[in-house]
Formats: sequence, structure tokens, C-alpha cells
Amino acid sequence: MLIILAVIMLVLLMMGYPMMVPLAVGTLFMMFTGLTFFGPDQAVTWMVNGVGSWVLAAVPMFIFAADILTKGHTANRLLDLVDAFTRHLRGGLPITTAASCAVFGAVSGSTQATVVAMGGPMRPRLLAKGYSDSFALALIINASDIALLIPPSIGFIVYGVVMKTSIGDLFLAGILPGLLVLLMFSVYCWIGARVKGIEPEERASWGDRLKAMRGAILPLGFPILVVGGIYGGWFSAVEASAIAVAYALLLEVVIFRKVSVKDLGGLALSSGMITAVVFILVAIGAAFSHTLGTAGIPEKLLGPAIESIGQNQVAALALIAVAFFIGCMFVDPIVVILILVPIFKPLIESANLDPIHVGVIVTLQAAIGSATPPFGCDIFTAIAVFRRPYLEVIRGTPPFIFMLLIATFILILFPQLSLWLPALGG
Amino acid sequence: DTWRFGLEEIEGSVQHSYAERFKALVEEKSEGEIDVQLLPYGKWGSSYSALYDAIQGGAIQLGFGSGALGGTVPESQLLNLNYIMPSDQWVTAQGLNSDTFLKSKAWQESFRKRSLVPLAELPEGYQVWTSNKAVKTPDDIENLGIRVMDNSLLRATYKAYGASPTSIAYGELYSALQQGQAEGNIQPVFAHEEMAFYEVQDYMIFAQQSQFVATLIGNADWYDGLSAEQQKMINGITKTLVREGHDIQSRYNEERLETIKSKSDINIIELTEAQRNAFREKAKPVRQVYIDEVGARGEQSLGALLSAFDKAAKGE
Amino acid sequence: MRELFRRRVIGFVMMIDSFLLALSWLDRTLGVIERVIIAGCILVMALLMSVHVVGQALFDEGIPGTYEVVKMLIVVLTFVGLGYAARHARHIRMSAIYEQLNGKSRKSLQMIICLGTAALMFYFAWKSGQYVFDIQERGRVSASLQVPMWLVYLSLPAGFGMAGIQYMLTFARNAVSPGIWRSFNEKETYEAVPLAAGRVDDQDGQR
Ligand code: NA
Ligand code: NA
Repeated sequence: MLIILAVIMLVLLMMGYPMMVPLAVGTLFMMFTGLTFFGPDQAVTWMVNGVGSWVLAAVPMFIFAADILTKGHTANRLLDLVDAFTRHLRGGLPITTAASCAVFGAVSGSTQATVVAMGGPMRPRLLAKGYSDSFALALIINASDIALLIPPSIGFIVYGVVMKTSIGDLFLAGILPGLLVLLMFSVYCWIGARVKGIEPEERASWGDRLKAMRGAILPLGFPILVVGGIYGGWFSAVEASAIAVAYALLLEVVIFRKVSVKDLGGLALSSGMITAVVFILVAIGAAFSHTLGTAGIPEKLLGPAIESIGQNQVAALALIAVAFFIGCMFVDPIVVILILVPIFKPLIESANLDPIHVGVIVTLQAAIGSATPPFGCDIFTAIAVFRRPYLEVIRGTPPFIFMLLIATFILILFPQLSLWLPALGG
Repeated sequence: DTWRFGLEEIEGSVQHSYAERFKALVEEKSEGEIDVQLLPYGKWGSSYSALYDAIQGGAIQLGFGSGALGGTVPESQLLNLNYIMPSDQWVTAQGLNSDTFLKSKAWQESFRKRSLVPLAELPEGYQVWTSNKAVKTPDDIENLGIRVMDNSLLRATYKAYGASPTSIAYGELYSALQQGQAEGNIQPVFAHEEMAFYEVQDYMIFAQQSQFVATLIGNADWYDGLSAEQQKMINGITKTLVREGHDIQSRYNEERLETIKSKSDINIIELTEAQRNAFREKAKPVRQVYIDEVGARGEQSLGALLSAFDKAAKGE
Repeated sequence: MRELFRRRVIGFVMMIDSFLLALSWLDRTLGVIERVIIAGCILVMALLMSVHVVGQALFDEGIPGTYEVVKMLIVVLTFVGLGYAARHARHIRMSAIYEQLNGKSRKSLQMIICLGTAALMFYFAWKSGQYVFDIQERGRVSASLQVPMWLVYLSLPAGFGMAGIQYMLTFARNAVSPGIWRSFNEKETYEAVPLAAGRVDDQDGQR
């Protein structure tokens, strides 16, 4: 029965049905074949409850903030600032791109928002300097995924809720691994620029740099306000998303006047549509995952492996990494975290793993998985946003996936990388 | 036959222990004819209303409903009112499960109207305040940013004390307390322990204002379809479990309180009778808020509950 | 006789034409309503949450029920957006194999996908309609503001129904018009030049 289920879903996926169809048909299949005692009525309940969640509000808000900033000056001014300090370096522009995605991700908390906000201005710049489109797209997609590791991050929030562990500690724990990944990407960009023979530009004068810094003063208030507000106890990570919108409006509508009040309707519509496209998958994904859960399928599949692992910490972490990696290849990371974390909870406890460390590994897998062909959700975001064919979007990804897997190994072997900062903070 | 039993709490919780005893007794008394399948939190979904939906729709036959039940059965907010329950937790458990209250027309009708039937009440221990400052009088709680569930009655209650109630999602609560976005919190002891809220708070205040009560609810059609014998069996079992349920929650909360004490140097404050009276006075008008909000059935339920407590206190 | 027949045919065609005109007018009106709801959800959410936060931080007094309203807005946004995204063929799909096909086979696959998806959408429209009915009958309200939840959940049958209609329309368009259509109003193309910013065009497909 499980094989039939997998085949049906895979065929529907490969045929090119919208992603929600295989998920919904899989759900109904399990219900009609009696794998679960729940019927389609419950599927509707799960859909409603799957998206009726306060934590999810951060996604449309950060996307909206990003849309406003991209339409206005802020995104470009932040890019100019980074550019002024890196353009004379070999591979300076792609490194700038990676760093900008990470910085923007630090604020937006959403990989999709980052693909939208940073990909927009950066991709033309990369193409103009002679980088290939597939490299540019892969770089943007993968660097945006660093956003998941740098606070605030939806992945950490959802994991913290499900695992009942401190979200604040998770935020701290993600920072160093995020920087590690950024470093690896930068090295790759440097090598890539050398191989392709793309020469660095002239060093920016201090006058230019000062100008860029002046231009970026107000935009820099953005990360300071959002991150400072969260750690200062003014608002929660979710509420910070609305503050991000408010500050973006203040900058672009009131101060720079680059975005008119009239533009806002269109921006809200586009943010709303991108959100809805993802959230319908969260909704149906919730029905699918709960159905899968009540049918006891993940336990059946993972149970033997979990049992044989027992107390071996490295093996346990490796299994968790593999399971989340595969899961995130198919379904939105938030949904994967909701399904798989409860299944692994006993293993995490019995192998005496630190839930914070596991949270970082899980979130890293979510980042890798969402950029991994064939089913990465950031790939789909890039397709949706840039309207490029599927194959072109994925052609450049393998080296990035490889680097991310190396980062996973390093993280499994050196838990201190994630646990050091929370230990300092707490 | 299989009876599915949905829990709002995870394995190893008060509800789970109670349900395990319920399962054992049903399977024993029905001589293996009925099989009870326990579905802890997560097994039926992750949002409480998905559980209530499943019970109302009949996919799950019975389960627990507590603080979040107010949207489904508005009258059930009665159990959130402060200072209506006696200080003695055992007397409270008896009163809640007495026929005077549980079988009262108003209480039964409140659930029946929503395709449910209340089968038993499980008090899970005092709701305990935590804060970063000592709270002994209403003056101390003045303007305290205390976190309550997004629920109009609870907000009215804490406003009546003079506090500034704020709503924060459960998952964000720990960091909100840590960063100071919320200055206080209300939970049963086991939840303070489970979510480690005590790590980021300085005082635990036992004001005995209310207990955390879960109602055991069944699907009405399912219940009415049972044989008279089976209904009698359930009634007998829930009566037996009043004492056991009380013992389970006492043991759990004592153990969890010990854990909190051993892992932190949190200060524990027990309000005296006189101190409690100051809060009790302020809480009284909120009863009217409840009645205004849910109407006549609520008023009658409140009356039934108060007279049930009277009788229980007299040992009737 | 012949002339009469010809006139009748023309008359019939004109009738269909005005019928189609009325349909497309209705379709466009629904599109406008969807756009207003989606943009409205985002704007209200942003306004409500920021006023709540500022109130909470400065005056210790947020807006009661903010959590509840935001959750409701997300539900409405998701399901109304479901229909709107179908209208613009923006639902995420794994198109690697589809893109390898050309001409007739590509067109037939597109039609199969539209038909299957439409059927599924209509099924959920029916199921969620029943759910709305149940919730209305059970009288579920929100805990803070006592909003009847069935009003919010109406967005499910509406959104699923609209999505089903859009997929049916796309199927019909592919059946009668030459070329391959990703939605009722949009022919298949990919952007040849990078967009200045990755924005969704908001002109109801009439680029
Ligand atoms: Na982030
Ligand atoms: Na993937």
C-alpha cells in the first residue's frame, strides 16, 4: 500500500501537477484505503488549523517588507554599501551577493523573501559582469537559504515550538554555522571568478565608501531596530515582522518617497499572492502530514533505523540529517519540521542529544533541502519570481549542495560550533 | 469496538495518566469487548480545535477539553473564573464531579448543543502566577504585564486585579519572559516545569485563584448510541477516577514543584487567607462579565457549580 | 432559406459571444474582488500588528484579539489566494518533464493537469462547504472576540471553488484556442530578460 501511495504521488509530481495535488491526493488515498481512521472532513480541519497560526504571520509580513524595500531605495543602498567594500576583491560581486542575502536573511527571516528581495537587484548586476545565469540563480537561491540559520528564522521558531525548546537559544546557535556556510560560499565564488577569469574592479576610494555609508545609515536602522527590538524585549520575533513593515514604510514612503501610497496596494497584492502560493502547501501539507502521522507511516519507515541506533550520537545525528534532508526535498521545511520532530523526539532524548544542536542541524537540512533539486521550494520561488525554466534554475546548484553537506558533517562532528554562543548568552 | 480517546497533553502528562487508568478500567469491565486507543497531543494534529472538531464529528469518540474549549463551548469558560472554587483541591474535585453540577441541565445542555456530552471533570492543579517581583496584594500586581491566553474573560479577570494582561503565543512565551516582553505568567505547576518558564522568572505565587480543569467530553451521538449498561459503566468508572485523578495531579504537581525548587532558586509565595480575600473581592464582578458573555445557561451553570461546592464542603 | 439559416447561426454565435462577454466580465469582477481581499489582508495585518506592538510597548495596552484576527486573516489570505494564484497559473509545480515536451503532447498534458486539478478543487470545495455548514451549526466562535468562525471558513469553499473554475477555464481555453495556455488569459512564455525586481504582475494577466 505504501508503495502504491509513493508511486501515485511521484507520478503526479513528475507529470507537472501543482504541488498541492500530489499532497492532497496522497492524503485522500490514505483516508479512502483505511490506512487512517480519519476521513476527508478531518483533512479540511487540518488545513484550516495548519495555516491558522500566529507564527506563520511573520512570512507575509517579511515578504511585504522586502517587497517595499526592493521597490524603494533600501535594498540598493545596502548593496552599494557592501559593494563599496568588496568590489576590488576577486569574486567580489558574487561574494557581495552571498553576504547581502545573508544580511537580508538575517532581517527577513524568510528564504523566499530573500530570493525575492536580493535576487531582484543582484541578478542583473551579476549577469552584467559576465557570470552565467545558472550560477547567479544558484548562488541567490543557496545564499538566501543562509537566512534560515541567522535569526530571526521561521525554521527555528517552528522547531522551538514543536520541540518545546528555547527559541532564543536556537537563534544564537544558528549564527556561527550560518557564517561558516557563508565563508564556504565566498571561497567558492573566489575560485569560480578565478577560473572564469573575471577580473576584480578598482578599489573603491574612501570617499566613495563614506558616501555609501552615509546612504546606508537609515537602511541600516532596519536590522538594528528589528534585531535590537527582539532582544530588547520590545516585541517578539513574529511581531518584529510587522515592525519591519512599519519601518520599511517609514523609509520608503515618508523619507525617501520612492514608494507611493498608491504602489502599496500592488505590493500588498504581490506579497499576498506569493504567501498564498506557499501557504496553500502549508495547509495541504499539514493535512498530509497529520494523515501520515495517524497512519503511523513515518514510525514504520524510521522505527527500525531509530531502534538500531540507540545511543550512538553521531549515527543519530546523521540519521536525523538524512531524514530531514530528504523530507525537505519534497515538502516545505516548516511542514517537515512539524512531522518529523515528534518522531525523532524519543531518539533525541535517548541518545542524549542537545535539542539546540539538533535544531541547528535540522534547520541546516531545511536550508539545503529547500534548494535541492528536484523539489526544492526555493527553486520554485525562483521559478515563480524570475520566470526562468526549471532546468536552467537548477543547473548551477550541485557545488552548493556539496558545500552544504560538508558543513553538515562539520556541524555533526563539532557541536561546539552551534552550542558555544548560547552557552555564552545563557 | 474501539473507543478513541484524544488528549490535549503529551505522553507522561496528568491527562495521559488519567486516560491510561480509564482505558484499563474500560477494558477490564467490558471484559475485552471494548478497546480504548489513546491519542496524545500530536496524534490527532497540533491545534486543539482539530481535536474538538474530531470529537464533534465523531472520528474520535472522547477526549479532554480545557482552556481552549471556550470557542467550542462558550459556557465552559466557567472553569476559568477566579475564586469560585474552594481552596481545598479535593473538595473542588468532588464538587466538579457531583451530579449537582456535572449532571445539571444547564451544564449538560451547554455541551449537548454542540454535539458533545460532558462525562467528567479533571482538575489538574492550581493555576500558579509567576513574576519577576513579589506579588502579595492587588497593589503589587498593578500594571504587571502578565501573559494570559487570547481570551476575553481572562483578560477581564486580570484587568479587574489591575494588571495589564498581554497575549503572547505559547511558543514565543519563553523568550518573551526572558526578554521582558511579558513580566508574568499563569500556568499549572507542571507546565511551568515542562516549558522551563521558571528559569526566567523570580517568584512563584500560589494565590489559589483557580485550578486548571479539563473536561472529559464524548461525542453526543456516540454516547447516546451506547447501551444503558455501557453508559452505566462509564459513569461508574469516572466516579472511581475522581479520587485517582486527584491523586495523580497532586503527585505530578508535587514532583514537578520539587524539580523546579531543585533546579532554580525561585522564591515561592503562598498567599494568606487575608491576602487572597483582597483578590477575591476584585474577581467577583467578573462573574457578571461571564454571564453577559455566554447568557442564561452560563448563569445557571455557575449557580449549579456554587451549590455543588457548598454541598461538597459540607461533605454531602 | 439559406439566408435565414445564416442569420440564425450568426444570431446564435452573437448570443454565445455576449454570453462569453458576460462571463468574462463576471470573471474579471471576481478577479478584482480577490485582489482587494488579498491586498487588504496584508495591509490590515501589517497595520493591526504594528499598532498592537507599538501600543503594547509604549502604553502597556495592545489591541485585544490581535492574535485571533491575524490568524483569521491568514486563513482568508491563503484560500482566496488559492483561487487567485490559479487564475495566474502561479501554483508551484515540478515542470522538468513537462518542459521537455513540445506541441501537441505538451498541450494534452496541460489539459490533463487542468482537468484533474479542477476535479480535486471541486471536491474540496464541496467538503469544505460541508465543514462550514457543520461549524455554523455547532456555533463555534473565536475565544477573544466571539467572531462566528464559519464566516472566516467561508473562504475555503470560495477559494477551492474559484480555483476549480479557473482550472476548468484553462482547460476550455486550451481546447478551443491554438497555442498552449497556462491560465485562461495567459499564454505560455518565460521572461527573456531579468525583471528589475521579482514582482508578480498585478494586472490580472493582461500584460
Ligand atoms: Na533569518
Ligand atoms: Na528540495
